[in-house]
Amino acid sequence: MKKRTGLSAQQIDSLFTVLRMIVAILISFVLMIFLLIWVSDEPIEAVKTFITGPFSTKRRMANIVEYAIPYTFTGLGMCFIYSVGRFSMIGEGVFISSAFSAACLAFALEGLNLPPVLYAAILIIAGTIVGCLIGFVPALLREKLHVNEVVVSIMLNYVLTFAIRYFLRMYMHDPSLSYNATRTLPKSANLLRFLKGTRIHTGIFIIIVMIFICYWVLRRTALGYQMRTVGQNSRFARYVGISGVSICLIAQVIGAGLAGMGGTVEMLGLYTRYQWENQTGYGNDGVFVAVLAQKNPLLVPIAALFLGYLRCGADVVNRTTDVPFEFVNIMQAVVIMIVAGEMMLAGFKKMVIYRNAKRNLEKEAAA
Amino acid sequence: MNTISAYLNWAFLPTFLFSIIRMTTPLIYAAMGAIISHKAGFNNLALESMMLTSAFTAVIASAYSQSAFIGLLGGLAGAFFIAAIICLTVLKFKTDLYLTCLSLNMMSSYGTTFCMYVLCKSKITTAWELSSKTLPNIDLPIIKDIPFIGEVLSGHHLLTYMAALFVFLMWFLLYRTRIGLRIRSVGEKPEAAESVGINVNRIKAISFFLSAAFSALGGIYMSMGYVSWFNKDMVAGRGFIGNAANNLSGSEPVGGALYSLMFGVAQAIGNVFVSSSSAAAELILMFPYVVTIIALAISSTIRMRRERQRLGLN
Repeated sequence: MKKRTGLSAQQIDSLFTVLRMIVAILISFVLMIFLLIWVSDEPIEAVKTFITGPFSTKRRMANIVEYAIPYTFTGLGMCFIYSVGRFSMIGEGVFISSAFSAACLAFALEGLNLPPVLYAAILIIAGTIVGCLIGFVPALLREKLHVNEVVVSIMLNYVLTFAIRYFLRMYMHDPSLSYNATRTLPKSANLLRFLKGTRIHTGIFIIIVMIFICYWVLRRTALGYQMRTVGQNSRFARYVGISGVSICLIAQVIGAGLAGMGGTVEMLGLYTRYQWENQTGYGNDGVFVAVLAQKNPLLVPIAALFLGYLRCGADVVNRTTDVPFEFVNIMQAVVIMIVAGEMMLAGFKKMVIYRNAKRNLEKEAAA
Repeated sequence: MNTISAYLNWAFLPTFLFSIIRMTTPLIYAAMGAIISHKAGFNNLALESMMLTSAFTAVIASAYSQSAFIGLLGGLAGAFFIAAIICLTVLKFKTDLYLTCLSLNMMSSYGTTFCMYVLCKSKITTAWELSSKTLPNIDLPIIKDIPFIGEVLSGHHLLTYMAALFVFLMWFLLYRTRIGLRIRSVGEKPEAAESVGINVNRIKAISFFLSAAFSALGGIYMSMGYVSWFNKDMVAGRGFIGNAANNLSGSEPVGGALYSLMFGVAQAIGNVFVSSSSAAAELILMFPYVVTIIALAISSTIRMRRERQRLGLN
């Protein structure tokens, strides 16, 4: 208690951000264990595999990180979209269409014999640009015409999925395969897997850089400040002369761009062909990650690793016992609702801030 | 082109029109669900979740009881469950409505799959084992004997005729009853409604439950009429199309039904041509969603322009 006396209200606020995250993680664990016990025929075994399974082998531990990479990308993207108070779900469609366009570009550039790093870099940048362009559509409709961005983005996701399926089947399909996928991507386009025995790829360095860039943009620049102001109180933002329209547009375009980058990195890192015919679910996971991290880019990788751990555990459970892995997704939805409840721990927070302020005042009076 | 032109003749027309009505039915329910909650000042984006949940619970209830009526009740219960969650979290714990709805959509999509796996003991996308009883199709007594009209209008599902009825009941409810007046006043100016002693939260909850009832009927139609089984994510964005119909019509029941009909036509075109020409199957399946986006964009452009003219900005 002694340590806390010097804290400002803002510092307590950020402490509570972390506290809420921890509480949410605990709640999610309790929920999932409850679900496992309820569904499984051998509950103790299932719970044990779920919790310790991801750490049992080196490969599974690597899996956690592999899972976390796309979650971090879409999570960072959602941080921007969610910061301005929008709920565009475009990440889902962008993720696959950016990867698909990057794959197309990879084949188009095949003849140039580009060096590995440059090749991958061009593709990732292209994927990001495609993401931005797609994200621009629901954002523009929302900000200029006041069309509900959720409806448009979800409709657009269907459109994109069908369009990709069409182009994949008609033009890009490798006839030697029994399933719908492109030819193998050129070797030099793939991201390097630098740890033997795992599939962890150089995309992890991109993501580390992106986390800090996103943190810097959202928390340390005027643009980020404007975004957060618009998101928290759009009337106040208008009053102080921040153009809500362009700020919201930029935030949603950046968010979609990050999801597109994630899709491209994921494909170049983990796959040898483009093969997603359906929505991958990474966009929805981005919502979970962003909500759990409470829009703070620095907490995003933690939330993503946590989700990666859960997915990995669910995968192991799915393979070794009788429980389907979807229980993690159910938990995700519940946690979003709990964390999104502004009321969660709000009373407790107010009390701590109040007491702290009172103590600070007393201290000042004594000095 | 040959395959398509084979469908463009008179003998095919009644089948096509019949298919339009079939596709429109769930959209009308979704639109009614969207309208009633929008009138109370909420955009109910969880229609998708309500429809999917009720489609699932209807199949389960009817498969285990072997009774269509129990299935109907089960479907309603499923949607009410979702509505109860929304009311509890949004009205009591003050969560963000959109976020709650989106997470509910996620939850029902994966939750139904999860329950399906657990109940069927295998990982499949369609629960064939749990085949549902269907509600009856109805032949209209006199109309069915009229040559062309009979083929189109008669022999539809019970819920299809009820949908037409509900559009007018909805209008009546909103504009001719006390509860309708209260719902509208809460939506337009909650403070004013509260000042005359209306319990705003209760009215909002009522509108959510009504919305759930409508979307439940839509979901039940999907799994107990349109088909008789449950399929993973079988609602396929119909809830959001309902939201779109609500936006387009400016929350008017009759207009909403007409816009649903428009989307129904788009879906029927998809349904008819997908079986005939598979070359561009995906592009045809994409059509209804493209229509939705374009329609929303156009109507909003018009509305914004009118608004500006009204304010004298142009």
